[in-house]
Amino acid sequence: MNGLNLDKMDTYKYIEDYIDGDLNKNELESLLDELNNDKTMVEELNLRSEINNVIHDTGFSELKYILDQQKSTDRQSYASHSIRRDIMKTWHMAAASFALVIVAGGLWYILSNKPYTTEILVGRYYKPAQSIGQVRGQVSGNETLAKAFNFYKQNDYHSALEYFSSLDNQITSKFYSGICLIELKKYDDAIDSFKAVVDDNDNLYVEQSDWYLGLIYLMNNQKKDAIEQFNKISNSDSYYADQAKEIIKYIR
Amino acid sequence: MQEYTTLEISDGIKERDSSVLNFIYEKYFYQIKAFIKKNSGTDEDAQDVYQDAILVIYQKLTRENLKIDSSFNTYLYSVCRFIWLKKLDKRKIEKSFLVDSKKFINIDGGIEDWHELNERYQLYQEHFKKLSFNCQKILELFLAKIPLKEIARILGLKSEVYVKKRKHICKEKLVENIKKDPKFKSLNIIEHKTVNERFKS
Repeated sequence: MNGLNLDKMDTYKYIEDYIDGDLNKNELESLLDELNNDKTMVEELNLRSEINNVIHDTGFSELKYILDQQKSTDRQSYASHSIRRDIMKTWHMAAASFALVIVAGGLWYILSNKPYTTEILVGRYYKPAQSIGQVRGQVSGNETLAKAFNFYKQNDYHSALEYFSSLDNQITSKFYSGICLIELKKYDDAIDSFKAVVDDNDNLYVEQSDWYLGLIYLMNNQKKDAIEQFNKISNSDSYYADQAKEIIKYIR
Repeated sequence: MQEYTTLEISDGIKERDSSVLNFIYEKYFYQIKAFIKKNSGTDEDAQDVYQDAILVIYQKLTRENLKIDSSFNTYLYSVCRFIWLKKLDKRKIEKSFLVDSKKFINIDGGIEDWHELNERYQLYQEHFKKLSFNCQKILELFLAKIPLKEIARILGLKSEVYVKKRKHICKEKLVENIKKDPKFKSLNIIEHKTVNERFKS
């Protein structure tokens, strides 16, 4: 940018300020003048604007996610109704991409349809969190964890649990141990696992673990604990707050 | 399986309705796969082309208010056919003896532009997802026009100034990573038009 006499990093910042609408009148005029004459700057501006569009375009991200699921997930386990609700908030998806809980969407719908019991319904529609391998394409840097996820993906929860348990100092393994334990119907142990994740309070699995705790209490007929747990979620700014409120109404 | 009209399918794609998307996949994907495999492609190619086609149709439906006059089946097949021809071109594979599985319609040129844009979108998205959780969140909140003060509260950052600074660092990291990706150079990145040229065209 000769007219403004800026180096490359300043130029980038200037373009970003322009996109964000932070330039004053004089700066804006100078920039527009540059844009009229400098194709490299126009390229840079277009690139940065397109990147913003992608981040902001939640519809595109949602659709891509669903299509990726179709590509990679076994058709039988593809829970179509619930996926969409889980990815409505894309900023949350970043956290949830580690462990998308695909049970949430259909739960209230299911619970509303008597005469099924809560336990049967939750059991029938409950889906374990997707493995990191499924979501991110790979589990890098940890062979034991990779093996654990390999078993997990094959629904061999017993073997997966053995590997996850051997890494019990890791939050990721604690979380997935919890899922394995649900699958193995060891609810009390599952509760311990998820509580450890929640107590740690400095990881990406806290909201999901809180949610799973509520579901386990339902599965385990611990109605009072379930209400307490879902109350806790509904009074927080958790992604699951609204669903927790709905479930509480049903339980009561 | 529940059946849908072309209009319902169009609305379903716009709304990212999983039931409709499943229906399309289950009902029509096998035809796309048959076509691609008959014409020098693999199962994976078929999956990629199908996904690209749905994303293109989504863009046209939402951005151009596309009305599909033919059956959805024919339209989807035609878009997939168009995209596959472009891919064969890139691979320099002979396409003069193309074997068609069913009838197709001529697709307007806008498909190519949307397809190229979607390729770029997918690259950007891929790198965005590789950013740290906090970086992703700060950029998303910022672009959702959440006030800086609120972002600072949500993310536990000390001040609005610091939010802006972090946003800048995260965005630069993202742009840098995208530019470093070898795929970036191979994509048809954004036309080299100045603002004046844009207004003229």
